[in-house]
Amino acid sequence: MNLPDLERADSFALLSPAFGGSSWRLLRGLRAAGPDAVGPLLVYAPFERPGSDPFRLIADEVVDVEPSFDRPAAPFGVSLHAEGYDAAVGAIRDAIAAGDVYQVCYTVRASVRGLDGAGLLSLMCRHGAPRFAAWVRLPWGEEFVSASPELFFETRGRRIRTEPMKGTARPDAVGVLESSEKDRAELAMITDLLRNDLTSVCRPRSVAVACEQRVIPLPYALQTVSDIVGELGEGMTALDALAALHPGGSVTGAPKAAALEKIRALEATPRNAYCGTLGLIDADAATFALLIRTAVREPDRWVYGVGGGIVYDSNAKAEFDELHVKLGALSWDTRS
Amino acid sequence: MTRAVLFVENGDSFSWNVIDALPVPRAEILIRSGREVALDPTCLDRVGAVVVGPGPTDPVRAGIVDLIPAAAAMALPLLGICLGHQALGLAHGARLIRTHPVHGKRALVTFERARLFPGIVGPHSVMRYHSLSLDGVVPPLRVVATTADGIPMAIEHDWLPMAGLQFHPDSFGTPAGRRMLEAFFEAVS
Repeated sequence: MNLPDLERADSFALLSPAFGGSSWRLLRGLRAAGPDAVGPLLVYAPFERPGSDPFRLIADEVVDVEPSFDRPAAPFGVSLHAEGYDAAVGAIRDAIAAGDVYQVCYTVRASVRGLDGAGLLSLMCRHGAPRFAAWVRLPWGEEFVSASPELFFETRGRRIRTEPMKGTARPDAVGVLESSEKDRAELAMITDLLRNDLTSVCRPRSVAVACEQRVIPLPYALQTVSDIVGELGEGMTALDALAALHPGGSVTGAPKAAALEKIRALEATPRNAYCGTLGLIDADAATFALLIRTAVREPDRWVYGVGGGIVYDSNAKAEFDELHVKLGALSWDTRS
Repeated sequence: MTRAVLFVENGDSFSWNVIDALPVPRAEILIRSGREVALDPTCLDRVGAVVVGPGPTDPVRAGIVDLIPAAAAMALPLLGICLGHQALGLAHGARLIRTHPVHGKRALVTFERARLFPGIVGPHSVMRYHSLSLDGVVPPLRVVATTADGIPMAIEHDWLPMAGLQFHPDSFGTPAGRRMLEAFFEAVS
């Protein structure tokens, strides 16, 4: 399939196989789903929108496709807007010392210019497609490209599983995340938070931590995740889980309400699709990606978000370096 | 325990973990925010025990200190967790001080023999989430567990059925947490 053709399409969602297909799938002609719509149902919630009120869409046509990512590199530019970064980290550490919050996921924006959607997706897929690669243009014009490596949650029948991602290191820093008390604490906190959110929709005592810390190697970074499983309570659906879990704890901090208050106070612009969620519900299976490594289209540029969990032990310089590791999803050279 | 347990919720993202860890069926747990209880303390009349849950800020700003003497006057069993533990201490003359924040970090705490945590003795690995700690705990409260550097991790009242845990017995990082909660509920029932 020729990606540039999509540049002229009205509304569509191009989704990598991890969204539940046996190959890449293209959903064309998206429109709002009625209450009785039969799947596959595309579900999207920007970061700022409550999970109880996500956008629910169905497609006129769903086809398996094999996109080619061999687009030549256009000359493009990435610039990071991180004014006031150190001061924000300081303000969060002060709030933690006072007991007001335990961790805040603080993010800033970068601008990407000179690429169309096909070029940006090709760039993000140059070392193989990221797990939850997606290019989505919604009927009302909102558009984003995602290279997310993070599973927000999936349901298979009554089983539900989340995989919160916390902890980032350079690709050559083998063993660092596992031995760092700070990184382990950052992940443990979000693991307990996701246990909490899952428990609110799960059968009592069914939520368990299947794996406390596991490394996921990416071309530009090493990341750690935990695995939390549970069994949905009587009458609970994937949409109930979305309402309970969104926005995802790994992109808010803990406790969630206090962290969201800090995010609203400290971040200059809304996150929109970035840190939101995109999922597909098909029969009794649902798969939702957490939209990190995601660029939102504006008339003259793409706005790509980068950030990380700030804890009391955070050092502004080290956190700032981590932003550059995450910008690596956009770089031709994994070492830069 | 035949009467409901009041869970005082304080805006935390770990509240459901506590609810799930209590040795009480979920249908018997009455969930009210700390502010709701402050406005309507009569909900204490309808329950057999109180668990004051964790949360951010401090017990004074969270508005939960006054419910401690109200529960004490009724001799209601009360377990404070994290913020609730700090509220129990403040209501009995202890001070709250800033200590090094330890959110999501584990520590070894050593329990001495305690009236309200029967069978929980010796060192236990526990998960901590706090920036503030009790200091100057005085009778009728008694410190029954501390970290290696002496921070109070568990307190109990000398004669009332009231105790506090500074760490999170609800966390996946506290292997004996559910056993500690069972011990408390057994001791006060």
